[in-house]
Amino acid sequence: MLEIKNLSKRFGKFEAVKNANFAVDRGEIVGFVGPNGAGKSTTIDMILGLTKPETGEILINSEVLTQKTAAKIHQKMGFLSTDMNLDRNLTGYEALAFFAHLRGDWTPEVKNNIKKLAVEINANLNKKIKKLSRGNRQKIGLIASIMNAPELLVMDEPTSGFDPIVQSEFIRLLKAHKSQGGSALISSHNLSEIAEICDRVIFIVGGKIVDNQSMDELREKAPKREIIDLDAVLEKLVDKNPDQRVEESK
Amino acid sequence: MLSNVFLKTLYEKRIAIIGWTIGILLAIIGVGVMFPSIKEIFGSQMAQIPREFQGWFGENGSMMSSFKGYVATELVGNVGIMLVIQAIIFGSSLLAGDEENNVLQPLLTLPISRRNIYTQKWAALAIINLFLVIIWAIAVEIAALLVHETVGFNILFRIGIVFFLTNLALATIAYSIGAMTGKRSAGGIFIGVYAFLAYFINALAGQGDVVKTLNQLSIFKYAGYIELSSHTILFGNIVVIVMVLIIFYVLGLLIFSRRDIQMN
Repeated sequence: MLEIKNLSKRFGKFEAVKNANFAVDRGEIVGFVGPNGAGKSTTIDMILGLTKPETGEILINSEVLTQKTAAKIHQKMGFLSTDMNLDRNLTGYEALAFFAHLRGDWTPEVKNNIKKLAVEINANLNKKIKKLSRGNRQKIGLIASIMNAPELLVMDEPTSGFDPIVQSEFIRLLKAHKSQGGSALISSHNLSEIAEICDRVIFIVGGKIVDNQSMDELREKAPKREIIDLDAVLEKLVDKNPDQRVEESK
Repeated sequence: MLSNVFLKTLYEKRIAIIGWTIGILLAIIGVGVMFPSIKEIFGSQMAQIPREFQGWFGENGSMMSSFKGYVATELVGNVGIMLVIQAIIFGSSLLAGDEENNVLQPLLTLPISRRNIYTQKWAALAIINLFLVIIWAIAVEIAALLVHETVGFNILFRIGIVFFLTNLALATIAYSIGAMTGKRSAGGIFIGVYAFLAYFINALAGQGDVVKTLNQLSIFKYAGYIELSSHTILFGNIVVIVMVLIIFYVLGLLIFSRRDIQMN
């Protein structure tokens, strides 16, 4: 579904992503985990076509992402960011209608889907976005990302602002997305949040992909623990990559 | 109203458009109905104004003796600066403002090309400017009726067309700089300073060779509102204004389509 080949990105002298290679298969949910400044958002910006890679390429459904192909490829994708900024003067429903129109998919089915999702996650669609709290704005963003049943979901630290109930609803929705053959790449620095839903976790530290393991493999390495202490795993990976600390201190 | 970026932009800006509409109507009608008093004052006091500043009032103030001259000098040249200001504000904020507020980025993840977004937002900018120039023309007609004067449809049409193109050119420069840099202030400040200097130089264009030479760079020289009150539109002037508009439109489009856009 998604293939990242030799991807690099530099901002001036700072190399934000260094020769990254990984893939997300159809029907797979992959966690993309690393500390702040590790290169998660830069990688996601490139996958979304917001920024251009220095080297390497991104393939979605075997089609290379370029400025020319981006619009067509985006038809298959849904996106949710840390703090989804939608037009402040629109109501939640208007913002969703606008997004669905641009997808060319403002159908009765999508309208029903919006209403159903709004009930499930208790989202207020009638208030203007500017009058909603961050968590409630994020709920509208979550609906926007999944209402058209995309094949690939790209989520950049999506759960910030969600209360525990919405968090569990979010996990349920992602499982439903997966059961319909959908894929997802979810970045987070809060490992425990995404451990429950991920099939595999990719670790990025200092712009480098330092580990790429299935959840089963991770569980095998920690057989005696019921819940894997992924934060400890990540800490060890950071220790192995001292340049990450140097870059962060800059 | 929300089926594409063009309509959504107009819908989103509806309150601001209503505000500018009311402001333009009040300002133009308010200043327009002062015409009889101004005409009287200028008839007797013009000689006392230093020669260097008489140009502010159009051909040594002689334009103030007719309503069509008053329209060209005061209602376009001076009060009409309101429309220049709105053009710069809308131009600099439509795309760069969305990027600064992180509203553009989710839009770019949808199945719509950057070129398409740029073009639709610019089309909304053009329609807003056209609408406000029409409101300006309506306000001039209302003022004329109130003071029992006439402007003439031809004159109003000529001035209106050039007024619209000039404002749109300035708005497009602000819009394209905003699109190139992602900074609302970059477009707004650059074109704001340019418009102020261009307006000032054009008003003093009769005074000295240096100012006359500099005036070649002033877009208001090519607008030539005062001449339009008595002469037809000069094709060459329109070409200059439209060329400026096209060059900045294309530059903005090319750079915006290719540059990195990050979350702020």
